[in-house]
Amino acid sequence: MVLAELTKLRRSALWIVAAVLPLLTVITGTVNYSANQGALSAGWTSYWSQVTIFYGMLFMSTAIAVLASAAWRMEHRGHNWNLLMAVPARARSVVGAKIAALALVVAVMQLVLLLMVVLTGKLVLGLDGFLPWNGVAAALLGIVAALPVVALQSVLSMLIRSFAAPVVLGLLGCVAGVGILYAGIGGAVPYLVPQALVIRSLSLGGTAVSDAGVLDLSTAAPVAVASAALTLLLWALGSAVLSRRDVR
Amino acid sequence: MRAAVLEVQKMRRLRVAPVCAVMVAAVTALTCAGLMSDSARAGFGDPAAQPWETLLLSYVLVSAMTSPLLVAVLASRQVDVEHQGRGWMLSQVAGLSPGRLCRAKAAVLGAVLAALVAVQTSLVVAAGLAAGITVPLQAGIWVRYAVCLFLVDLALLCLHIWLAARVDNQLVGMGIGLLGSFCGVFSLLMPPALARALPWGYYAVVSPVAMGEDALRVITPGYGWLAVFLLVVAALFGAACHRFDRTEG
Repeated sequence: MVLAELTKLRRSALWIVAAVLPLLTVITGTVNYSANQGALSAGWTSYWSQVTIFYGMLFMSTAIAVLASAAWRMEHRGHNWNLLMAVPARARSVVGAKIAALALVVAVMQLVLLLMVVLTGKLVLGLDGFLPWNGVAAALLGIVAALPVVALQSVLSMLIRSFAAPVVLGLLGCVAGVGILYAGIGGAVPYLVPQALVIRSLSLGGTAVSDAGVLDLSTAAPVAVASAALTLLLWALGSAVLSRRDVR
Repeated sequence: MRAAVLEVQKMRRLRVAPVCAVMVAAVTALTCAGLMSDSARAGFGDPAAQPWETLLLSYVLVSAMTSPLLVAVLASRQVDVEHQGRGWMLSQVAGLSPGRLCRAKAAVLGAVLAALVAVQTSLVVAAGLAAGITVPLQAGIWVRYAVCLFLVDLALLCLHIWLAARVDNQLVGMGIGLLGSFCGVFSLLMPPALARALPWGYYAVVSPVAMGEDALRVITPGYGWLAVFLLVVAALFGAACHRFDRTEG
C-alpha cells in the first residue's frame, strides 16, 4: 500500500514544495545570519536557530498541510474515491499508507534542510567545525514531531474535499502552537497540539527563542512519546471515521 | 453585477466567512502576543518606548507572513469550484465568459479582503487600547497602512485567481502562496531593491515603520513603487482575462 501511495506521488509537484521550502529557508536564514553577525553570537548553533525559527513556527507545519491536501486531492478527483474504497484493504491500511508516504516526503524535506544547512555553513559562511550534534538531533526529532501533524492533516484532507480548507485549519494549529510557546503554557497542553510539538522540537537547543530549553533525553523523550501517541490516536480516529462513513 | 451576485452565492457554500474569521483571529492573536509581556506593559505610557510603533511593526510582520496564504486560499477555493463542477463551460453557455468570471471573482473577493483588513486592523488597535496603551494613537499611519495592505492583497489576489484558473492543480497556487508567505516575512529583511522585484516584497515596501539604529523609525512607504506595481498587475490581469475569453478549453 505504501509503495502504491509513493507511486501516486512520483510525478506530483509536491516534491518541488519539499525541495524548494528548505532551500528558501536556508537562503533566508543565511542572509539573516550574515546581515546580523554583529548582534548574533557566532557559530553553528546561532546559524541553525536563525534558519529554523520561522520554519519551525509556521512553514514546516503549513507545508505538511499543503502536502497532505495534495496527496488526498487525487483521491477526491473524478471517480478515484470509489476506486479507493473498492480496494481490498482495511480502512486502517488506506489511512496508514497515506500517513507513511507523507511522512517519507517530510523526512526528505527535513534531510534536504539539514544537508543545505551543512553545505551553506561550511562553503558559504565558512563556519568552523561541523553542525553540533544537537542541531542534527533537533532536525531528526523534527521528523518524529511532524508525524502527528502529518496524521492530523491527512485525516482533515481525507474528510474535506477542498484543497485549501485543511491548510487554513493547519494554520490555526500553528497559531495555537506559537501561542502555547510564547505564553509559556506548561503541563500536558504543549504535547496535545501537534503543531506545538514541531515548534518545540525545532527550537530545542537553539538560541532564537528564549526559554527554548536544552536538547537532551529529558526534553526530547516527552516530545517523541507524545508524537508517537498522538500519531497512533489520529491514525485510529481517521481509520474509524473512514470505515464508518463515506466522505462526500 | 449579475456575475458578482452569482459569486456571492457560490461563496456561501464555500464557507468563506469562517475561513476569514480564522485568519483574522490568527493575525490578531499573533500580532498582539507581544502585548502580554511585562516589558511591553511597562512602556505603555511612555512615548519613548514606542508602544504603537512596536505593535504596528508586529502587524506588518504578521501580515506579510499570513496574507499571501490567505490570498492563495481565497483564490483557490473560489476558482477550484469551477474546475470541479465544469463551471467554466456552464458559465460560458450562460453568457459569462471565463475572463468576466475571473473579474467577478476578483471584485467579490476584493470586497471581502477590504472588510477583512478593516476588521483585523481595528481589532489590533482595539487590543492595543484594551491592553492599556495610553500614548496617543496616530490613526493616520494605521489607516494608510491598512489601505496599502489591502491594495497589495488585492494585487496578489488577482495573480492567484489567474494562477488558480490557469493551473487546475491547486497545489501550485497553494505552494506558491506558502513560498510567498516565506518571502513576505523575509522581504522585511531584504535589500529594498530585491523586495521591490518580488510581488510579496510589497508587504515590506508599504511598511510605515522600520528598524533604526536603536529605535523604530516612522518612514514614508514607497507609494510610487506601489502604484507602479498595481498598474503592472492590473495590466497583466486584464490581458490574462482577455486571453481566457479567446482561448478554448
